[in-house]
Amino acid sequence: MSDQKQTKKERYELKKQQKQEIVQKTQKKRKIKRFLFWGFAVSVVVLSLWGIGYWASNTSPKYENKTADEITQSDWVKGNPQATVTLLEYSDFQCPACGVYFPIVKQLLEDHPDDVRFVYRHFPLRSIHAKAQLAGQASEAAGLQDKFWEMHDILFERQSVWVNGDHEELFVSYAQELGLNVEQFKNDLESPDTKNKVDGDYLSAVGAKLNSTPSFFVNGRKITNPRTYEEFKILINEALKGA
Amino acid sequence: MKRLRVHKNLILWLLVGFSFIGFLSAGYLTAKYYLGEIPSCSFLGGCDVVAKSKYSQVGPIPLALVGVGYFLALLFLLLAYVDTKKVLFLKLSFVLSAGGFFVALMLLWLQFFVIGAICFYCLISDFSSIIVFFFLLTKYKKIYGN
Repeated sequence: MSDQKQTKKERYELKKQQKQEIVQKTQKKRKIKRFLFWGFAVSVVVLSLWGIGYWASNTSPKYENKTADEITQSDWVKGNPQATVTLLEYSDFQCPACGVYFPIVKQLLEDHPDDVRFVYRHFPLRSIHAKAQLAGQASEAAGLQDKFWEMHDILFERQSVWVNGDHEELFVSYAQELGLNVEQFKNDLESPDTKNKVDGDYLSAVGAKLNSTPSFFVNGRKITNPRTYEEFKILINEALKGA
Repeated sequence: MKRLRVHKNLILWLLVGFSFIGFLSAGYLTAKYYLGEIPSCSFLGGCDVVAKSKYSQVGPIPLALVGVGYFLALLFLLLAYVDTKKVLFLKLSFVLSAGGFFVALMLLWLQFFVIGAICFYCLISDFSSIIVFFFLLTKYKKIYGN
């Protein structure tokens, strides 16, 4: 009878122990599962952070940090490099107002060959001028063959032609007219380098909080656009006196 | 019954997925900010304008970094719910996403009507916030009962 009782007790203890073991096993399994779950989640986040950093540093081009009061090596400069007055224009080849200012600026440079240097930067207003970006790239592609200013002049002189025509084809024909290597020009027209050059200028304009073209700076100071050649000349003369 | 459970889990995993997408997008914008570069978007093309606008920062902190914090918090709260099934985590996610929803609406309004330029990566983050909020609304009963 006593033996039987002991056996029952033993059986009870054994069952209890087995239950405990099962509970412990389940808890252990759950712990491992949770550890794996959170380990995986944290790893994905950390790897993503690394991936984002890697992707961000390798995807977009590095632009030159330009400001309106500093002329850089990559800028297109016309006139006497040692001139006391620097006239900088943020311009858009498709913008009609820029086309109006083109002969005025040209005249100014002819009248002040030693005192004024002119800097051209791109600010294509892409949202309203669909062909301006490529026009900027065309000037840069010509610039790679040392004909930036020649292309610049043609683009303004014939603005109404290419704006209303097949602009890409016309840019190529202008390149041909300027005696450029046409195949090279075609390759450069849409190359990342020319695009980045235009975009870099564009970003510097955005950085300077500009919102219209043309925008002029005289010796790094933004000016209100003069309405006539005479007004422009007065501004330049004032800058010369102040220099 | 089984179908219903799959559906419920699907919404939960979609919530996690959209939070993760928002996190990636905000992370990319943050990385660009600290690299001193402007994100270039060939699609829509207004990233430069938006990223350089005065609305892209809250004091000295880039808004994108706030976005990273927001989506990361949301992501871990949702994962905590998946893990523990404690309604508290869902409740916190809901409150957080409600704030994110209104901020996203405000940022969309700024892009469309004030800045006048659209940033593709910002749109991804904004719409992720909005979608997460609406998905969490479907869990409203579970969070607050009847």
